[in-house]
Amino acid sequence: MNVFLNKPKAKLPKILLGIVIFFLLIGFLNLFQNQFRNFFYSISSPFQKTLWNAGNVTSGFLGSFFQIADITKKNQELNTKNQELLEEITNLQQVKVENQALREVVSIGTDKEFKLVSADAIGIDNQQDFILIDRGLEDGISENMPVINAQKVLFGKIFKVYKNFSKVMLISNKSSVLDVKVQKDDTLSPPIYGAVRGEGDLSAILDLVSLDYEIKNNDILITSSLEGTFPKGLLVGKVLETNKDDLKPFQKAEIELFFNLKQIDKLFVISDYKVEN
Amino acid sequence: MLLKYFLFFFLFGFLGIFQSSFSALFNIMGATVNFIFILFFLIVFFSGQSKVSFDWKIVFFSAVTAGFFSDVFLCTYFGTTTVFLLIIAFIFKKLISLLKGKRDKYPIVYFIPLFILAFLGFNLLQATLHFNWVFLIEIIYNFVFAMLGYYIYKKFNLYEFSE
Repeated sequence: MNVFLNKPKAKLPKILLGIVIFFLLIGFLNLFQNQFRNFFYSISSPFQKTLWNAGNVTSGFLGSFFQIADITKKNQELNTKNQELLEEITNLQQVKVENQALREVVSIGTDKEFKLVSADAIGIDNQQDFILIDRGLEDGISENMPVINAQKVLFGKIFKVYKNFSKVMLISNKSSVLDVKVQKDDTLSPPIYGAVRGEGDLSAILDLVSLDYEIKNNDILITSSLEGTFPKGLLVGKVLETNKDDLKPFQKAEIELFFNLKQIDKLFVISDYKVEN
Repeated sequence: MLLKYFLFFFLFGFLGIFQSSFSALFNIMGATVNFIFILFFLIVFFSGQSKVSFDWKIVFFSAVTAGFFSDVFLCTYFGTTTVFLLIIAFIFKKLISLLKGKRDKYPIVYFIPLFILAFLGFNLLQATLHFNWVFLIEIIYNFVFAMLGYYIYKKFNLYEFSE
């Protein structure tokens, strides 16, 4: 039935009343949105957790069918990499012994580990690259705290905190920019810094790398802590393809982020990181 | 009468939770399916299918419910998506009035371009419209599920139920 054509005079007050109620409801929801969202997530989180786990299992199972050829190739690559790493471990063990001796001499303590709050991801907003975790104000979470996984792979930072839940802005979010350092095998070469800028759709690019330096495919990117939000040394991603144009002031590169939403076992919020001076 | 409102409320609620957890893990290069939008479009498309008139009551209720369950999982103000969905419904209503009942004769022929147009318009309003491969995949991905929804909607005569 067309409410605009039939009995317009009788319908008009009803329509106006509907519009007023609508705007009052919207105003009320926005005024108490933090409390309301927290309440809603408290109700929906058991369902979301169950569906998230079911999705993880199903996508992993289905994904394995589509990736058989890829897995075989990756396996070969990993075998080669494993041998290289074994060689590296042997070299590093020697360096470790030397390091320990040096630390004893100059009385420097070992690196302090972060204070971590463990959390589970229960929801994702793919449109804007946010995830929802089940820890909030009551667990000591506050805005801008970094979020990592057990392998110290950086996911993002706390964007919004509710009483029992928090929204994490992924590093692929379009508003996310973080300073990174390009990890080089050659320790004598000068450090290369750049910025990883979120592109949305769970992707990001490496930008602002000086043209003077050479970055290669598969170079590892780690946080540099220059901007102070993230501690240094967290894993960010690896370079896929470089884009060097001499006419532009900086070079860019396509990168693959290390975080994988399909393989989140446990997330950790770094709750005690302070900016280094 | 009230049953259809309850049904759509719970359907939108379930789809909101479903797309923010389960289906989000089935993204293709970051492209995901917006089930809430698909259901809303189906309701709008089939609203007044056998008549010339347009059932604004159910469309308005769907826009409010779909908007609520979208916004609660997004970092936007409540009401934003509702307004966008109402704009889409209003434009859609204008478009079908131009078609003058032809939609009822060949619904599928009109469903395909109208869905793609509405999807583009919705993303344009949400400022998530990009001209890249991922967005093309997203359109196709959503379109596949919209077609599936179209036949389910028709099979179970849900349009009669929603009138």
